[in-house]
Amino acid sequence: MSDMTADRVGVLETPLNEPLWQVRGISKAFPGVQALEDVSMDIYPGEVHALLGENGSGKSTLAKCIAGVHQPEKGEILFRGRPVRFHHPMDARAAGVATIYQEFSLVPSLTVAENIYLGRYPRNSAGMIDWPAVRKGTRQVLEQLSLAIDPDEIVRTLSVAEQQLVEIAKAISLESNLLIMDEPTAALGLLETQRLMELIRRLTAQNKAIIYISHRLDEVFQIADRVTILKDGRRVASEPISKLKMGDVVRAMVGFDIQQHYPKERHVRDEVCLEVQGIRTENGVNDVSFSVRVGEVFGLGGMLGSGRTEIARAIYGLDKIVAGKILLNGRQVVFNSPREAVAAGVGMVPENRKADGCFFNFEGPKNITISRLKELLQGPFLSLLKEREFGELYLKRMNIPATALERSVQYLSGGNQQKVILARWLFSQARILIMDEPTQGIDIGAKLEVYHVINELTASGISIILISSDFPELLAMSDRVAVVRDGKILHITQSEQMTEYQLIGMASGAGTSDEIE
Amino acid sequence: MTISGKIARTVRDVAAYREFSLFIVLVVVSLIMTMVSDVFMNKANIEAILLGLSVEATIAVGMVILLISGGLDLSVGSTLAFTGVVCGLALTVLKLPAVISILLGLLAALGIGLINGLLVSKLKINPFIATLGMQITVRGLTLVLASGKAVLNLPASFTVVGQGRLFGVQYPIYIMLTLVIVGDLLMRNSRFFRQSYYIGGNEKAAGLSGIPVDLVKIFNYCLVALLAGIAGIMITARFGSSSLTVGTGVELRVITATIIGGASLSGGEGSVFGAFLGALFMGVLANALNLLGMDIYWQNLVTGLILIIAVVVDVLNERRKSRQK
Repeated sequence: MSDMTADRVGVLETPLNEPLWQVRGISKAFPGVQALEDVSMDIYPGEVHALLGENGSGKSTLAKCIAGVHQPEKGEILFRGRPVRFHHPMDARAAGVATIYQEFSLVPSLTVAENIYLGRYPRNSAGMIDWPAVRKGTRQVLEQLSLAIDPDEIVRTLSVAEQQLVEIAKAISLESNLLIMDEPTAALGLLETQRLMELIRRLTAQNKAIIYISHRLDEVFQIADRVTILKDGRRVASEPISKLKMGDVVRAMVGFDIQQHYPKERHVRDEVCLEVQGIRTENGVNDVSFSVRVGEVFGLGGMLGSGRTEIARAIYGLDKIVAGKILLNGRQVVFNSPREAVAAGVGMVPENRKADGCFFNFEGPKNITISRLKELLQGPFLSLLKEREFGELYLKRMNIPATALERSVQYLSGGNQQKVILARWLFSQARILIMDEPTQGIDIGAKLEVYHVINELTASGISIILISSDFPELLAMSDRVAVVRDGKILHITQSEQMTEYQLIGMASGAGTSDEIE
Repeated sequence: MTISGKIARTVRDVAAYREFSLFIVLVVVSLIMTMVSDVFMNKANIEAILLGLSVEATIAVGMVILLISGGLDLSVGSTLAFTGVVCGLALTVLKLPAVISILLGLLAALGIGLINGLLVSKLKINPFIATLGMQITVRGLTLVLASGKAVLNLPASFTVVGQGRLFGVQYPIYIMLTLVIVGDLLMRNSRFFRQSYYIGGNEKAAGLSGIPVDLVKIFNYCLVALLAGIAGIMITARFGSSSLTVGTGVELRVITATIIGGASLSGGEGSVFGAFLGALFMGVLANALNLLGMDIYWQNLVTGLILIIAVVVDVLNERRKSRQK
């Protein structure tokens, strides 16, 4: 990028010792959650400013406020000392903010070059798209990243890591003074990560600012100049990184809040019901072994993309197991589909309950009975009367509003939808239940009810594999916890013997607790 | 809630069903027609209406089940013609008995359904594209097989299927009504058929809940093809010859009937009885316009408008429901 274009978006005019961007006391609420409260941060030209916090602490929301995706309710954003107001991501882009999102924004059916220039194709004198210029520009950007990708390659055919790199290439090709990178290395290997680090150094040498969001503290300490830490939507620290040790950062992320009260009951029995022995899958599960006892809650703790969901998928018959084996009650089982897992008494509460769990074309009862329609048979036919009775029984048992008897579950709150799915597995008499983020996005009251259901289930001898990004919840509700990173289990321990601080340390790659100290 | 309130709510609930509103409209149209035409309520006219819609209604039973599971089949018209030709050639060229010929024809139809099902479920080809391809392919296959000529002079042992009468009513009407009643019963009360509603409602969730998604989808494509085959046998037997162009455009008429009857192209909604009422409505409407001496072209115009009105009513209902929240 030439100096002239950089100048147009204001990099050269800003002295290095004055903030390029300033966030002043912004607040943002979503239904049921205060995502950000009175958060401020200063971003200087030529610096890498790391934004840290646990899952759900508000990092992505803050990034999206700066990028114009969300509009904060309170506070202001200043660019070179002047307040700016973004109503749309295009406004922020015009002011020089480029963003690399966690979820890809590429169009899979277009080529790399088409994606990079999407919506801003250069024209030739005849007013047509200047394809040679598009290809040339693309090649230049890819070279900056030392990427050997053909600009005419269709994005769909690229690997996930390559797509992530194209996403980065697209962002740096924009005329920008601030680059927001939300988990840019989540899909990258070691080599690609190092290349990205080099690129970031080149960009900061051009006096561009970078907001760097990552779970990986090792990376952050390698690249960042300044760190801002969020906890439950509030800023708990904002310091130059030279003043901080890794232990300080972890402690700030965990916070010293009074622990929420979790109604945990222990119902672990001696018999083992599930044994996982050295399983591997093609999507990253790498030699995972553990066992779960009857009535136990076994927690899988890890960052997003750590492989915890993939472990669950392998057990549930969604991904093919290429090595190792699974024993259910001492007998080896191979599930080729969820159907076989369900038949063997394994159930799953999926992470995305709306997309993967609910049937909006049905009211409550039919959403509950799906996994054991057999129970409703009267002769060769389903008894709709029985279905309604069961529906009523389970809605009441789970404390779900009776309106769900007649109306589509679409009109229930997120918490009640989740309880409908839990009722489904209760009804199906699953013996092992995998719960992937069972309390994500539901309010405190519904969370408590989910915890009570977990207790009720384990008391009746059902075992639970719990996946949660809410680490305090995971530690409090699990009997034992396994730390997952890069598709491997690093450590398994009684949950009361592990602190949130240690869990984050290990899951984020900051090292074991001893190393941090 | 008071008793009268309860009754009012029940009435409102029943009225919300498409079957009910469609039934009322049918009754009103029939009443008007009985008043303005002395032919309408004749046995001969009613039989003509039912016979006329027997092909569409028979296929609609399978089509609505397929639509409920989130599928779509544009090849039913071609399958219908193909079955007729296979059956006709078996009778005249191979000189096979009627029963064997019919079974051969239905087997051919099942084969087409199986291919459709495999293309959509295993190869994940969009149903619209896969079955559009089959529509053209099978029509072509039919022409090749019959060397471009209709198969004429089918034996009486076969034509009786389409022309014979029981208690003075032609067989196809019995076949259609039986299929509608059995199909409706199965969709409401059978464990296997219920699975289609789950798949159409949320395919991913259905799979995660242990439903054999691919199996049910393949079954449904086979079912609609089989019913198209039965319709093909009925119409071939009625005409006494295997026409090569019969069934052209029938797929869109069938889909129209199912949508008027409350089905949705996005799956999860609809009923066999509703689809039958939709077909009946289109049949009655055509007959009424005919009796009123209206030009045949009005039929398309009115049917099209009814289809759009039906869908708009659905959308408005949906909005009202979500506002109630």
